[in-house]
Amino acid sequence: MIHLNGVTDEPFAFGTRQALLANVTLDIPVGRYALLSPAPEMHRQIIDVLCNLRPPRQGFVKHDGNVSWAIGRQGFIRGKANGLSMIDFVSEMYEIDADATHELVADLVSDPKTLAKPMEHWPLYARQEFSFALALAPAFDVYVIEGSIPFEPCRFTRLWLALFEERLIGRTLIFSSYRQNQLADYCLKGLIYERSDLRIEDDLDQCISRFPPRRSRNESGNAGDDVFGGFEDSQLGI
Amino acid sequence: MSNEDRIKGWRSRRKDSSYAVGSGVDAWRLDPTVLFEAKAPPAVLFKPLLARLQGEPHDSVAARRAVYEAVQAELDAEIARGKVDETVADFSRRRLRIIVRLLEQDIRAGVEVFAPGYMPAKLVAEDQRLADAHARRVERRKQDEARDARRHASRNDIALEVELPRDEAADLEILRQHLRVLHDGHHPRMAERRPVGRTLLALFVFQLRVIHGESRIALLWALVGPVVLLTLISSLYILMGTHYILGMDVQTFSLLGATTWIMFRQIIFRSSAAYISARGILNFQGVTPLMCALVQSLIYLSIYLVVFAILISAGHALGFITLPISWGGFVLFVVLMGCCGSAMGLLFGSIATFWHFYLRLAPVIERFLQIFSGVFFVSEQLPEHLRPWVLWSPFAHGMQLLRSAYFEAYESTDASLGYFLTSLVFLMVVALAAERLARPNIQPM
Repeated sequence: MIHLNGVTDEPFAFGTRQALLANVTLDIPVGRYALLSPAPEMHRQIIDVLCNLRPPRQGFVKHDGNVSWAIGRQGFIRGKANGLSMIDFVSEMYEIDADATHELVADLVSDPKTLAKPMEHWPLYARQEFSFALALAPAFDVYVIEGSIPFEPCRFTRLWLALFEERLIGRTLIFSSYRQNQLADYCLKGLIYERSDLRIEDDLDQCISRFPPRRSRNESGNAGDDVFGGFEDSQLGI
Repeated sequence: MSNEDRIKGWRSRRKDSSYAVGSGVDAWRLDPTVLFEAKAPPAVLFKPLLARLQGEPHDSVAARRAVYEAVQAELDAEIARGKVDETVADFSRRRLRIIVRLLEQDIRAGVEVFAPGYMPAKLVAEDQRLADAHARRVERRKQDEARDARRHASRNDIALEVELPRDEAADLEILRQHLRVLHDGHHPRMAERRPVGRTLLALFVFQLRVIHGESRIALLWALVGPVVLLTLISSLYILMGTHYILGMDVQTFSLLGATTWIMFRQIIFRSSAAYISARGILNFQGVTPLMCALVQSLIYLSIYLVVFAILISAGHALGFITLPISWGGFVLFVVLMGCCGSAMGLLFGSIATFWHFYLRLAPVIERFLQIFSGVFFVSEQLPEHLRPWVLWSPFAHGMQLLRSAYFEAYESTDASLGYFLTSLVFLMVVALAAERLARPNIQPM
């Protein structure tokens, strides 16, 4: 569960200070939520606050249980370090068995050889797979996913989805994506961000019709997270 | 069809010498075994239709329509009998309609449709188009079913059974075991707040690996800077004929000033850059910009302690450098100077979150401080009236206290431990306050 207590935040985004949240108090109980809003450009900042990756200007965010990092982001998969070092780092930080994590990630990704190479040389699909595979290792209670859930019809997608489906039972998902199908597939409620406020709405279909997901304009100039492009309709890789 | 027509047809067939009674039945009967096969050619429907048309009156549109309708009825009966899937049945009906349309067009155009090997010219292309559309419909239906199953699983909070090939199912079982081991072995403390020290240590090791990955000889360069600067300072003094400064030999005096200051500036630059730039790693909870800056400070402090050890031991072995009277005091003041650098770096990094250009000014500020920080000389070398110009700087106090701890012959009369420590604490408080203000500005990347 995530509690927001009187959260006010005004981060810098797109060159100016944005009024992101204004005195928001909200409890997000166990469930599956689609983050929807008329301004997807601000979803990243909202997720930063929800995951406690950045403290808000005022108020605080409290987590009951383990909240994942923003799965799907690849910011940490860069630089001269290799994938094995990153696995060691995450294992040490989350106090989990590094060897078992190595085996999990290596058995899951399409090309385990890339793990030993510097992350800056990895192809985009390898980064995506690594980001999702590593997120399964810690026992999270709340999964926050930013971007698309893997859907390319391949071994990694099938295995990751099978493991993720099992792990997600009885746990919370907060999902931010411009892929309407995936939002409708995985979520049941809407987490609506509108006019510096966050609220939960039960009717997801109505939420989607009011706030149709679209790609953030900040990402529209690049490939964004659409590394598996061309398989829009196939959600399950079958 | 009248009885006369049937007799006429029978007589015409009988003229063929190879004719046997009943042998034509197979030619015009629909074969249900191949009719609904996935990749059956259009001939499975076309040939029986044409054979039947040939055997029946086909001179008028009405007569031909009767044949077409009979075939249509037979096809429907086969569909009903075989309980054929609706999509496949729909495909067969559409295929029959295309065949009838093309055949009828040719008959009306006067084409010899009963000639051996005849097939409407466009039939293959049209049938392929129909097959493609059928494949798309099948695919879409599969997707709809998968979507419905997915949504059903979400609504009922159950795991969706993903269909897997046999080898992948075996892999999945192994992966499940890995996850079980990982999740069962989870430290219950993880649900609360993870210890900061553990994250800091993990980040320290990770950053060391990053440095190692960048260049294996990068650390050797850490030796070059101090050697160059100590050579420069020593040369200036020796050229002026000075070999001892207030009882301190010039080489060791220069070594302490040069190495400590280079460590100080490296910590400032690296930690301030880490504070605003290490945004990728901020995607992990518990990793903060403050921690990134501290880790860089720790790394460079450790590196320069090693550099000190190498230069002092090598210099002493060559007879250039004297050993400290108090290793503990010497290391303590080096560490305290490192803390000064760390606080300055944090302050610079915090300012840079509001004013990005500020880090461009950092080298200028550092050069300015270098003049007033006892790198090249100590305040006791200066005339009395000029000493306050140097002693305002807490770093000058720190450097002189360091040399006092190192040399037996030198005891600084100007340096104040109280002033140095108070300034250090004040600097840290200011840096942490600035960091608190700057923290919400730094967003993970």
